[in-house]
Amino acid sequence: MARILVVDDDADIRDMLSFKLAKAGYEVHTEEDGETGLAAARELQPDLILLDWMMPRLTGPEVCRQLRDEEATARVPVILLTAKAQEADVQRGFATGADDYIAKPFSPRELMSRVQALLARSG
Amino acid sequence: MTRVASGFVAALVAITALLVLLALATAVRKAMRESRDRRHARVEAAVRPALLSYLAEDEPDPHELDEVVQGRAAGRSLQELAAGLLTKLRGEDRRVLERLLDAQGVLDQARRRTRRPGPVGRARAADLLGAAGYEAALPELTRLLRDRDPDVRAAAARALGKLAVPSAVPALLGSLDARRAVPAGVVTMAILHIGPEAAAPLADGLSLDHSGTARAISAELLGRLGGFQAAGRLIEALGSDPEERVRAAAARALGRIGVPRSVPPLEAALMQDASASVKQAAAWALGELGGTRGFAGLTAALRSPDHALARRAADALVSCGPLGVALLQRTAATDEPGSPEARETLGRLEPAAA
Repeated sequence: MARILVVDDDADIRDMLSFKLAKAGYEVHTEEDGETGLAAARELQPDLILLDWMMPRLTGPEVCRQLRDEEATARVPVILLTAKAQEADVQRGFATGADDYIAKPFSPRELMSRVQALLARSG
Repeated sequence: MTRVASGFVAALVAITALLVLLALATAVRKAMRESRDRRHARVEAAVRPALLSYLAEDEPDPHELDEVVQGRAAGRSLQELAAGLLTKLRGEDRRVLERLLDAQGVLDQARRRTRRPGPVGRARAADLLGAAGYEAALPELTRLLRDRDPDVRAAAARALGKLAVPSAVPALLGSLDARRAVPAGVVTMAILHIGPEAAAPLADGLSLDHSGTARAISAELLGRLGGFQAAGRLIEALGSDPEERVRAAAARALGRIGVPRSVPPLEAALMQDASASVKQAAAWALGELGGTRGFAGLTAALRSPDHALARRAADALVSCGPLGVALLQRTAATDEPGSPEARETLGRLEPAAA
């Protein structure tokens, strides 16, 4: 069973994704800010991370950059979730090492497809 | 002396009794509020997981939550949770949520809540109806555009934008001129939200039956939404509208839309309009259209004694491409009118080129 870490300061999104991912058979862990998200990623070694961009303490791109700098988490697939959907933002998101990018408001069904595709690729 | 003392004691007793009553009333109100909050939290604790679980399913039945959502408190809780979620979702999951709200009667409740005495309730109802894209609520939301509370009027305008139906445009334009008006920025954003389909009613907004504000905003938005079918109406407004802000907005819109047949009327506005702001807007628009078709007008404007217009013409010539830049370079090398503006514009170009 793949383990997925959801890091988002919005309780609605966190809970909605938890229910959806758990229903699809994934093991789900959630955190509500960048700092605890980073700590959880180090400890849990998830198979995939869903990461919000704008969060207290550490932003999504900052978390992503730190994950890529550490041997243990360097290859964990990361999907950035964000309301920042301008071309420059997307480029910045990928530049931090994110594997995919979902703009808010988002389609949970589309997100599930991307999660499945990324997990299959990282296999 | 004894009467004074007894009067003092009586006053003291009365004040103490009043203070005790006040303290009691405060304590009762606090207890009631806490009890209401606890009840609300209890109801939400039951509704929230049921709603999230419902959304996690692929093809849920909208009546699946009938058992959980019973009573006014549960209905209100579902309404609040759903209103928050709707703004965060798109695609099929959003439609699933909309169907649920419809099936649970929450949207019809919200329609009725648009008549609540309190403005917060009316504004929340408008927010929910807009977030849910509930087109059946068009009459209620249109009515709220004339609400006595400015926040409710703004919420109604935003909600109409989210419904994304072009038929809301006339009411939104009308709300700009009402005695209880909606701020122009709110109306503009709402119509932009409706998208390109708003172009046809916006073209009607150029008619002189509307106020200058409504006509100017219609013209500006036609440019932003690419209403090329309205180019004829915009050309007409550029040539004949009595208000300069409308003519200037029409010129900018024509520049953004980029229809070639707008070059002659834009040149005419550049040369003949009495307003400096219209001339400047026409110069900018000719630059946006590009090519050499507007050269005659722009060259004449470059030599204008109006420095702001000459600068705008110089910038527009740069936008026209290499031939425009060459013309500026030739002018810059002389002492003719327009040469200072040509040098200034070329000077700004050089660091960028470097």
